[in-house]
Amino acid sequence: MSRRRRARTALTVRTDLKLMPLMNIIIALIPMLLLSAVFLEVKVIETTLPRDAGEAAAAATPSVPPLDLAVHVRANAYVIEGHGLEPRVLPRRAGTASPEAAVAEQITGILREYAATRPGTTEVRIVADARTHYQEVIGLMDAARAAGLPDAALEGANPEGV
Amino acid sequence: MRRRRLKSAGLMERYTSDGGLTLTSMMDILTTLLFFVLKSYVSGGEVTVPPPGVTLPRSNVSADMRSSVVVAIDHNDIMMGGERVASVKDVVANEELLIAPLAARLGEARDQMDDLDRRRGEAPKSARLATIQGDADIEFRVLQRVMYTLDRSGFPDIALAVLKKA
Repeated sequence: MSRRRRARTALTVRTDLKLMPLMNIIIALIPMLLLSAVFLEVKVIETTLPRDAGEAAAAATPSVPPLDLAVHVRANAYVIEGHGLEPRVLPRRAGTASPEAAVAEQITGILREYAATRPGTTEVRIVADARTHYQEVIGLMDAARAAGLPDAALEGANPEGV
Repeated sequence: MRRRRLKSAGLMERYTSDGGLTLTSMMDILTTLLFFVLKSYVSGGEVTVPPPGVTLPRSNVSADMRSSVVVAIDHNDIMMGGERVASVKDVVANEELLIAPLAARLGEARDQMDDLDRRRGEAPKSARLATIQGDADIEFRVLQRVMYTLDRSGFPDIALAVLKKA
């Protein structure tokens, strides 16, 4: 009887997988990946410097001059203007890091209204002062994009501007 | 005596366990987590980390980043490829819009890219893309000079890196 049992014991085969080495690898990998992972979503806004006015004029149909929409950042105001359009002035808090939400909405509204006068317009110039914060420029580009003007070009307001 | 020993051995055999944990469920969790973390690396296209000290501005834009030359600007320095190229103080003090050290580095990068294109049997591109990772608080005059230098150095297509607003 006992001999038979001993023989059965000897023939037993363990079929369990050895998971510990795999566990060790995964446990080492996960913290490493989590530490180096980037959970911030980095996106990009594509832009250019404004092209030469002569080039733009040459590209445009002679009978229809370009709308040339622009948002000027002044010390205490945003001035929105375009070719043949009445300039509109909105208040700006000096030294602000970004346009206030209400003002940004107004800028979007005005730009949309002006762009509607010339369907197909997608370009706008952001003419910023030398000390304008980068975040404010991005805020104005967002406002222009919301108005259907995704092609925003950056320009310096000072005389040495680009 | 022999019979008792055999009996106790049989009992031992019956009650002995290998003391191992049931790891299968834990393995399932860890494997799922591993795939999730790996996916977060590749799902966003080009992966980038802003350099330390640079807090990118926030925007609601949704365009993904593409592979390009990256120029980073913080409060003190202008960097390219993780190396300091020029100081913001010097750049602002200079009336010249072109930043000479940055232009030199961009020229080298452009030559390398052109060389790679030629080795691949392609014609070198006339206009290339560069990405600016600027701190949200930098002044426009610094950004303006960097953009001007990029444009003059054969990188007229400029991408401004931002963090997506929640």
